[in-house]
Amino acid sequence: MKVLATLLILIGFCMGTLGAAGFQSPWESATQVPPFALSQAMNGRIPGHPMDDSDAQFASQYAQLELRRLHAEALATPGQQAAELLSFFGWENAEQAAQAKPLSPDAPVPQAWVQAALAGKVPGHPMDADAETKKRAVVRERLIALQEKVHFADSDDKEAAEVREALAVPLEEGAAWLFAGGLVLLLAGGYLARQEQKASGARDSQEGRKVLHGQIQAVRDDLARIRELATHSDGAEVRSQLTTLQEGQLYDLTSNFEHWTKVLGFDDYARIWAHVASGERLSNRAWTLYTDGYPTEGRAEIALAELAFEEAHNECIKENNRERAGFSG
Amino acid sequence: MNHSRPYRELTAASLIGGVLVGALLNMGIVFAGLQIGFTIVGSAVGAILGFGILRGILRQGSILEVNVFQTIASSVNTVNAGVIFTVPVLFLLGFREDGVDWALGAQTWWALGLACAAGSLLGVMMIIPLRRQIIDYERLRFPSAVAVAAILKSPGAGIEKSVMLLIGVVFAATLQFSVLDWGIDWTTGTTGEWGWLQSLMAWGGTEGHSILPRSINLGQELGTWSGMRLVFAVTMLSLGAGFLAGRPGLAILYGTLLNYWVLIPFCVLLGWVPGGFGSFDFFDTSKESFGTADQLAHAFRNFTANKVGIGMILGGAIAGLLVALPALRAAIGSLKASKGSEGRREEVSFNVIKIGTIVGAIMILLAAKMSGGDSLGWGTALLVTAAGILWLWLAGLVVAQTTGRTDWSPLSGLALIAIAILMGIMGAKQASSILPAVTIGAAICVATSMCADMMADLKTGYLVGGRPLKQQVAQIATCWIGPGIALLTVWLLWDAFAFGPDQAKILFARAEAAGPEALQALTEAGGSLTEVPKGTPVMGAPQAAALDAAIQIVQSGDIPIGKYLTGFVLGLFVSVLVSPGLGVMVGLSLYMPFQYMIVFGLGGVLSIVLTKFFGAKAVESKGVPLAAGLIVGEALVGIINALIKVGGSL
Repeated sequence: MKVLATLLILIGFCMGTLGAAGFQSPWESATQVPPFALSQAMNGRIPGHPMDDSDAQFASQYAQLELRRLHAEALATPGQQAAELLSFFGWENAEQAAQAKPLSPDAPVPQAWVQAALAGKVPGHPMDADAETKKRAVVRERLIALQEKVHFADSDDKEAAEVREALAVPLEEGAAWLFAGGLVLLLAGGYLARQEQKASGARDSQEGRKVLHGQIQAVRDDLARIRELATHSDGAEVRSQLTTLQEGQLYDLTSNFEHWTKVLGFDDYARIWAHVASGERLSNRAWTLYTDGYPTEGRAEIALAELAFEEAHNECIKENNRERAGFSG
Repeated sequence: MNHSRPYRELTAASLIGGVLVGALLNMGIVFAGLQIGFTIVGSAVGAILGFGILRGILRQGSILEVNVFQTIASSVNTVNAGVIFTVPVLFLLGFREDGVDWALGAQTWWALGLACAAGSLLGVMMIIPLRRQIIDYERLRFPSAVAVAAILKSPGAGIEKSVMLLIGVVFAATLQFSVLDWGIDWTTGTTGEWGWLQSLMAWGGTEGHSILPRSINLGQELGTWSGMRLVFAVTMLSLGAGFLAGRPGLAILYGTLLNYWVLIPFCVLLGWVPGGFGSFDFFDTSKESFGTADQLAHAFRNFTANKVGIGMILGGAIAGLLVALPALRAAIGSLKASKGSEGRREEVSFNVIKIGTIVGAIMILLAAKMSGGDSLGWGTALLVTAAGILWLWLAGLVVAQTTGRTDWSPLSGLALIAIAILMGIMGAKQASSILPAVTIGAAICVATSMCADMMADLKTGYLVGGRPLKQQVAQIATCWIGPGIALLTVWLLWDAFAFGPDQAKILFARAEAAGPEALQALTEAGGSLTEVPKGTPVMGAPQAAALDAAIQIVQSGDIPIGKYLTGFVLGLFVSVLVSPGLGVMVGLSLYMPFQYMIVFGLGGVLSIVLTKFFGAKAVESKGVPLAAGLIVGEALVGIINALIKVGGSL
């Protein structure tokens, strides 16, 4: 049952996350267009966004787009290819190219360059892309411009509102089903895991409580022994004993805290553990004080740590009594 | 040795020294943060310097005094993350609107100062009641806090642990030294017997700016499918943190592989990726395809993964809170009691928390009104303050949880959501809402960074036996200092070098405005519209640029709420049904880049495997100091690098 539960949880979580990924793809930035919006536009479903251009017209617009891109790249990353391109355009260097107006966003690209690009004569210009790729690239750019225009339009602009609606992407196809299916599997896996936990918890609970109680008592007794030792031994010996306790019995007790949470349930665990944690911190403090050469203060802290474990021990007894009363009731 | 003087813990020396060291770290890390987009935690460096100053120079420091020293140093330093993730966006927005330059008015600076100081105070006040839950009950690991504790305990830890710590420090420091750019051209003079160094740099493609690359694309080296991402950051800090985290590393590994090996391929298949990546061939092994895979991973992270991830983290954190609600009530009850079970007060009283919270809230309200001016009524200012404080508390809990489990936190992501919520309340389309939203957003971001830092410091205190009361008093007394230093540094850097994606344009515009001589000087130094002049540090302020983009999205009304909500539901479900921390861990692995998360996850796996073979105690006594050393070594060199760059630029 445990394996099945784990499997259901893993698959459910994967499905759910995949479903979540299909929810409301955002217009993240000027360079990322949600796939849903792109598909809407390619299928001519965006009001005011004509898709009746011919392949030749799309190719020409694609050539212009690529020319602008290459120009920007040549400015940003100097090199052999950039130098060839700048020379093709007739610029001597990047500075001259940066200040040239023909390839600025709001100016048309000169027809001679477009024709050269279409003829494959511009260095690095990828005119061998297929018609669909060219069309998608152009539509993508158009959508970015359209999105910027409509999102900042007045709220009473009806035409803009229509376009906004068509561009908004609430849900990718199938995402909701994946998400819901994932949640169902997660719930089923969680339920099975709980059942399994309950069954093993009932078996382990009584035994586990006894072990915890015993470990707390052992730490308390060890602290009492170290406190006694501290009255007549030197600081190094006491610190060594504290180290042994911290790396031994105390470590065994505290490193299993997740197990104790399962055995006791969180409320009972917290009631006992408040004292265990205080005791652990105080024993750490005692160790530090001995390391710094303050044995009198260190011994006082050992006594306080012992007291904290005494209280944890008392909580265990109360807890056991409550548990018994619960069983007999 | 038996001292007659009382034991030193919270002292004037630790206070003053901590503030001075914190201020220095703060300035260095603000500078580095504006360059690289993330900040470095300075606790370990604070602890080392604390030992040096208190014990080496003043010859009187105790371990717990050094602990208070590092608590203050990191508190003064860490809040810079909150400032640099938010405040620089105001400069970028100003430049975008005016096209020339931008100077914030005096009232705006006062409002920002007030808000950030309030955020810092509220961060401390909000996190104190959660100490018992996070440190005592959940026993979160806080890898950096363990590393700092290892340094503090080194005088008494024995030779074996000290040697392991030192090995870790030296190894990680050497590696980090090789990865960072020190402004040295390593190709010069690396012929002959040093020819191997040049070959190494050629392999890493570092062009001589650093000896080793920041990350290694193992998939490309092995010739595997480009879609099967196998990029590893060269970071011992992540490996050490993963090792210290142990089992939670498995959840991180699961989330990382789920994201990159399952989610992305399926989304490509379904066409749910940003336009342009729809035709990506998962099985292609060409070099170009690996380049596209990098771009796809980055785009997918921005487009989907970090949104679902942050929702998941929020859901997981809230689930954890629901499970622990009775314990939280008991913890607050113990704060109300005059003394703890130890017979003395161990934490600040609940009254102090109440008063601090009220003072902080009033400061935020005033800051909101000051920044909003006449366009923001008192009613809206009050509403925005209330929403901000509520979010601050939730974000503080989230950040404390994520830092406790991994050392990382989604600080900037939470700030983005905060600013979106605040702009939503004030009217997202109104430009006048930006300034108050960013001002309160800065307060929230400062508060959350303070929450994470304070909880980590309290964890260190727990491990060395510090009294939480002393650390809390120290932090309350000094929390207002850090934001002021960070704000001042941001202002000075803007004045001196400008920052942001348009840094070159801004400098060009400044030179143009200053006259032909200034313009000529700029061009002679290699400056142009696209290149910053030589000698000027390039500061892209990536987080501020991301916030700028997010503000535009909020203004356009196109917030992907669906992704956040579905992530939230998944995080909540998986945390309630399976394990309280799972939603937080998996969410974080969706939010963060692959190359760091995979190394962290492998650190966790290594810890589990070694525990199985050598036993938990052997791993604890040898592995923990070594891993702590790895964290300290990398952090140490990172901070030295930042300080050298600041020094070189001024």
